[in-house]
Amino acid sequence: MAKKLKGDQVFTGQLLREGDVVYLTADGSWAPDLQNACVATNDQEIETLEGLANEGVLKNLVVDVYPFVVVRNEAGDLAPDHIREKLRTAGPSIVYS
Amino acid sequence: MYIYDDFDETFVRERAAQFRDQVERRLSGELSEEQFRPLRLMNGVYLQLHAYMLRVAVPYGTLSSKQLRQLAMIAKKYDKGYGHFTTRQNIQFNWPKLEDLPDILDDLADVGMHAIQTSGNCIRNVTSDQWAGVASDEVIDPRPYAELMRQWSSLHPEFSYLPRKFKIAITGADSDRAAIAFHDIGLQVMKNKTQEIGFRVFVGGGLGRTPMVGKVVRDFIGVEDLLPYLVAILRAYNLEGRRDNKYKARIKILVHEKGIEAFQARVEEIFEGLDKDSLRAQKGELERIEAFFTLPDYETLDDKPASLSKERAENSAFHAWVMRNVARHRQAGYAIVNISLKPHGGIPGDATDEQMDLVADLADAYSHGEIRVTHEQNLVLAHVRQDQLFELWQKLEAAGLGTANLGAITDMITCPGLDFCTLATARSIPIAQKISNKFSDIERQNEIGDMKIKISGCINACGHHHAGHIGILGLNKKGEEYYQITLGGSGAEDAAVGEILGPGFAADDVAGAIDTLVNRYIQLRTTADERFLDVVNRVGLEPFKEALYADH
Repeated sequence: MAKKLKGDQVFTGQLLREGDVVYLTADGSWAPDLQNACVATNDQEIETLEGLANEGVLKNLVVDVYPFVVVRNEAGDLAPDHIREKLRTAGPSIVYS
Repeated sequence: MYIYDDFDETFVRERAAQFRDQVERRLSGELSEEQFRPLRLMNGVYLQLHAYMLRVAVPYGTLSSKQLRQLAMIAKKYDKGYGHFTTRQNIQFNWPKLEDLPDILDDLADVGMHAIQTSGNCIRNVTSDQWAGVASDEVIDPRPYAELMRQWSSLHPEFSYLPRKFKIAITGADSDRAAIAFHDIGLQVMKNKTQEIGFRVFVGGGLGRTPMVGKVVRDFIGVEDLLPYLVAILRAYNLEGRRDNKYKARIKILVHEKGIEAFQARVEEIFEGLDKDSLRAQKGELERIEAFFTLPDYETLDDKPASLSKERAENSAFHAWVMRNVARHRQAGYAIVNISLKPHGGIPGDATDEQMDLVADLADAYSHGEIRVTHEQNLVLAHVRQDQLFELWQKLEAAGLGTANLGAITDMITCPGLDFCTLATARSIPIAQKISNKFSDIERQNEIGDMKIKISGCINACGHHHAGHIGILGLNKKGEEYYQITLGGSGAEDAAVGEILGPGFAADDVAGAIDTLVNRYIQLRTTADERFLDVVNRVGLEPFKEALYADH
């Protein structure tokens, strides 16, 4: 069971083969865009998503799977609540290459 | 520099082949992530915030031009065209794909490199003085001993599952450029009263959440007994170090809790009981290694040639670079060139593949094909003719590698922080960039003089903030980054842990706070030569607290 977080949640992980950050969608696939993530709004939905997320782990598609809290911004888009997930979603905040 | 023998070559090839098999088994699902994680970590592969990260070992910070070119190739072919040099004289690639890593390890093996023991609870890459062998203040060249320890510690069966990671640094000079007092074991090669070569041994230094300055556990141990004595220390730690709490598992905690006298007694007891002959390097082995570290055939040249004086007089930017980045060499007519990887507003420690290729070419043309990596995230060409400095500088300058800021306020150690690291609580790099931009004026930097700012994005202190004259620690409170400032730390021979000044600052306010501290320092100093650290040690924190918090 995922740890209790306050708020709507999505599941994230990283692709085993590439390491890219991905988000769990409603059909159990993994998408690079947070906007395609399936949002769980109650404990039952979180549990369902967690089951789907673990399937991704068992199928060796993704690693390091966990949920985090999202909110809707003014444009109605999904946005992480915490700085760590904001950076993980948007990529490094600096010009790095 | 040391060149792999057949044993090293075979060993590294075998490890690369084993890792290829492990990756294949992981990708096919034969190995679970839980089973695979320790295997990948043993080969320097981490999973970071956005991607896998590969940390490649650069033994005691020494690279050949061929090796640097290979690192450039890896950056270009498998990564995003750059590499990041670290405080342990290693290089990290931030974006490799797991499926490419076996090929990368093969490419590294082609040039005698690997990523073994760059992670895990083992003896990590031994670090050293980047000016080893050429520094004007050096007593003994530490590199042969560093290489001896590299060989001894590689896959050491007794010390592969220590309570926690274990870092060794060695210097052969009185000026400590390797931060030996902040390592699990710090070694200072020296001569005793009878001119016998040996080591002063420090133990229990470290940074992280419990910073400690290392303590002397042996004033002198002869060369012959170096390895047995290291075995005694590590055995004491392996047997008695805590394994119940990873935050209390480093040797510094054991030394602190036991007390240095009791720890010393335990080490001596173990040492006395050892079959030392079986642990010493084989007869002739050190001499064999030393032969790899003989200095190049220097030419007989005039010191401070007239051409150099003329070029300095005619070009102020070149003069400023020589003043800051060029150090005295032990050989007349030669110089140590420090290449800053801290361009103003840039990312500390990053080099593009093109820059790495260029530095490799310049090393071939001007410095006997050798490059050093520093723990302060810069590069060094250690054997440059003084009459070729101007030509070299022009080429560095054209490639964005001519920043004249070595040891100045913009020459900051900075960890990757929350932009890359899963452990970080706040970003480090943007803070460094803001400070760098604020103090980009070279005249202003020279007015401030020697200054070491060190920035970490969490309490693990990879950015050595405790050892900064000004240390900056990024933390997180309710999702917001904020930064704590410490003063008075030093990673040099006057090693000290900085003290916290007071409440932290928001990200946008940090550079301004540093400006306030610097202005107060300039008011307080009695001469232009009195360094920031000297003033802090003389007047204490209060005047700086008043300057920073007067309005709060």
